[in-house]
Amino acid sequence: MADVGVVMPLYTQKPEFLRQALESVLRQTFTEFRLIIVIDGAPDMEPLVRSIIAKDPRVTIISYVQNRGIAHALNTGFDLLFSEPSIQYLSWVSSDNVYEPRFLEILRGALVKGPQELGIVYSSFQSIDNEGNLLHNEHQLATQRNYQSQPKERLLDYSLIGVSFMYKSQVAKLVGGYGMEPVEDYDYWLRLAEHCDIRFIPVELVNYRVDSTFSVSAQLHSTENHRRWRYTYHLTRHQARFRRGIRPMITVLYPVVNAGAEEIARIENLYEQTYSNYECRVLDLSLTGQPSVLIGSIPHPATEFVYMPGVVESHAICGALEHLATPYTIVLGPKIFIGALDIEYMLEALITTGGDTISNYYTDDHSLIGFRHRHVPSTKNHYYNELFRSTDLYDLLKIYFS
Amino acid sequence: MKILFTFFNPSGGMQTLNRVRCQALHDRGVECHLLYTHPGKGQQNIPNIQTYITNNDDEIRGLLTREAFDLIVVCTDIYLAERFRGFGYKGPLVFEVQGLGTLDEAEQVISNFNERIHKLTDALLYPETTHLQTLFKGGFPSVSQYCFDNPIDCDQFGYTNYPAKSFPILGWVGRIQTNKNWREFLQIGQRLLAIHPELYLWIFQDDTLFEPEQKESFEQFVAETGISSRLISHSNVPHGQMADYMSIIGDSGGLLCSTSILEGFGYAVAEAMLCRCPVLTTDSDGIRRLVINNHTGKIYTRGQLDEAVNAALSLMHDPALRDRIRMNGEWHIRNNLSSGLYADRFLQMSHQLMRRRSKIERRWS
Repeated sequence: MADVGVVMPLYTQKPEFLRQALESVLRQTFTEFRLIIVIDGAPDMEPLVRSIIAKDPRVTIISYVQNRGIAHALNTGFDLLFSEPSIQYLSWVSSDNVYEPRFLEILRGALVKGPQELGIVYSSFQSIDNEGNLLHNEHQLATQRNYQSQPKERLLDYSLIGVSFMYKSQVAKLVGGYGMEPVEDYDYWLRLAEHCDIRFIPVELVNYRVDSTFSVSAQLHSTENHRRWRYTYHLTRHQARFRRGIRPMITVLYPVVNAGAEEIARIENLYEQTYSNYECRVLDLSLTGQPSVLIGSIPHPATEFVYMPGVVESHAICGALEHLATPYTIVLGPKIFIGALDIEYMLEALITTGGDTISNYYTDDHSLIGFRHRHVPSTKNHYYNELFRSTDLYDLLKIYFS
Repeated sequence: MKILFTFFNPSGGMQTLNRVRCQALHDRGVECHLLYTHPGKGQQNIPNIQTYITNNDDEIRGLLTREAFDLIVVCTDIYLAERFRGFGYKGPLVFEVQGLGTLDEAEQVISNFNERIHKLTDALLYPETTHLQTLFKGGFPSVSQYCFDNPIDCDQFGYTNYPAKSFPILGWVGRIQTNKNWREFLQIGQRLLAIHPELYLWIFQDDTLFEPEQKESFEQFVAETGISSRLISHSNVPHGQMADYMSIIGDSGGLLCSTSILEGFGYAVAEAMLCRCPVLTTDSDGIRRLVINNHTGKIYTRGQLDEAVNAALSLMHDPALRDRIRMNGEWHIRNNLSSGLYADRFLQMSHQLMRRRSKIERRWS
């Protein structure tokens, strides 16, 4: 009896991609599985689907007329699988990826062989273009494997799981359905991982079609869509930390008198940092509230606006510091962070460097991380984009402005 | 029974040893704790074991008082043993040595430690390694000594069959340090690449542990020889995944190459064998418990590149030999180095030392 259940959500897809995807699933070495194809508002795809699956008894097609989005399609498919008691292991596949013949066998094998606490297994994957060309060489794959193999705790920082995965249905039943598009998968892994361990398999089991013609990811390139994606990406992590009782580590203070394109670029540069466990306070020093309106149009779940009309920047920062609860603080601007990993690396360096260091920062040429020490005069003549221990910044500013 | 094991940092073979023996002893009802005086990347490999990372006197003193360990095993750091005694620990204390670099280095270290070992410790513990046996039997005839093989986790760690790579892989595990003899590995790799240009060299290392001048030489060597396009460095791979990587190397038609000048035990070699990855190794006596030449692996004379390359090629080109060595290697580890066997021997040692301590205490009370 089949113990593996697979869902393929399907919207409009290039016929050739769909054929390759479906055939690669149907030709798996592990044959005892159920496949639910959920045609999500694209009834014209159904004849092609039926012609490919022929009369394969393992496959069920669910089709509805209105496009409801991938999360709804997944929930529809999994609801059916949850009703089948024999199904213990779940996965879902995309209609444009190509699955290695042992994809199901290896992922299922790892779950079966692993300890009780293991709930998610996931593997490396190769990337392909529309023509099926492999996009990563061995060095790039090794880098990707290294990235994906980070400990479970890092799932809060990075979406490590990727596109090749399987999980236990008993864990899935604990966490509810998919939601939070367009990061429905990442949000789901964060929720699942609160109930189980995860394990990475350093083997490529999927050929992932990058930016294929009709893919969701290809539609995220517009600024507006990217902002929407980024907002939900931050939101799901924010919610996960809240559920787990993890407090923010850094407060980012952003004093602004008048906002324009530069100020927008600066806040977006912050939001693009890989490090995300911060709260941002925009100190609106204008008399009109214009910065709050403009910067507020770029959504972020952990940014709040403090209206301080006409207050001098230094006083505003000191005032804000008196109410901080985070151990670290950054004052943003006027330059941007050069690397997306800058805050992550600075925090790691400051935490691991004890002694009398009170802050660190990237040097202007971005080649080094410099440190400021307690009671030692610094050559740095400003505090921007510098990661401070909050109490030390407060003490420093008190001396500086007294 | 409650035991504390200590070392400098959680990394490499010591981290593997501590994890495996804590699990084995836990299965026998023993509570094990780990104390590292410095942090390390291996922290990610410590699930479900009470682990402390501190070098703070007050914290260590508090730990000893709070936990009242029945036995402490201090690995390498005799000065930590001295601190334990200074903090008032009166129970049995074992000084463990897993390897101290080259023979000259080991002799120097032991000579420096001599007085403290006699004064502070109840027994010496080391793996069945000729150079360590010679060193300790001669240097400490009056100190109790226990010598037995380290354990391998044969239950959780093992071979898995994955789709085979389309190229052979020459693997190497270690730190960029003199004793690991990385240069010889790259030289062997360079020679093999001339014959098998499709080969990849995979290095597994902890990139936070290296000798700076050695790392510089390493990078210079790679740049000068032009092998960087075929060299892939894996850093801080979680221990559980090493079983996958070793299985992949074994199935690729390649092998693991160990070039160490001296190995106290050779965890990487043992674990590779357990995962059916054939091994070519230097003739270091810590290896001889694992590799029987041409039976469970291949041994070559350090510095003899021709010999090493020929041995590697025989493993790559002779399928019958390769299959036999892979099978024998796995069997050898499973039958001789199981963690259950280690737990038996370790507990026998523990009971003897605890009985002796309590006799001494009764005599003086």
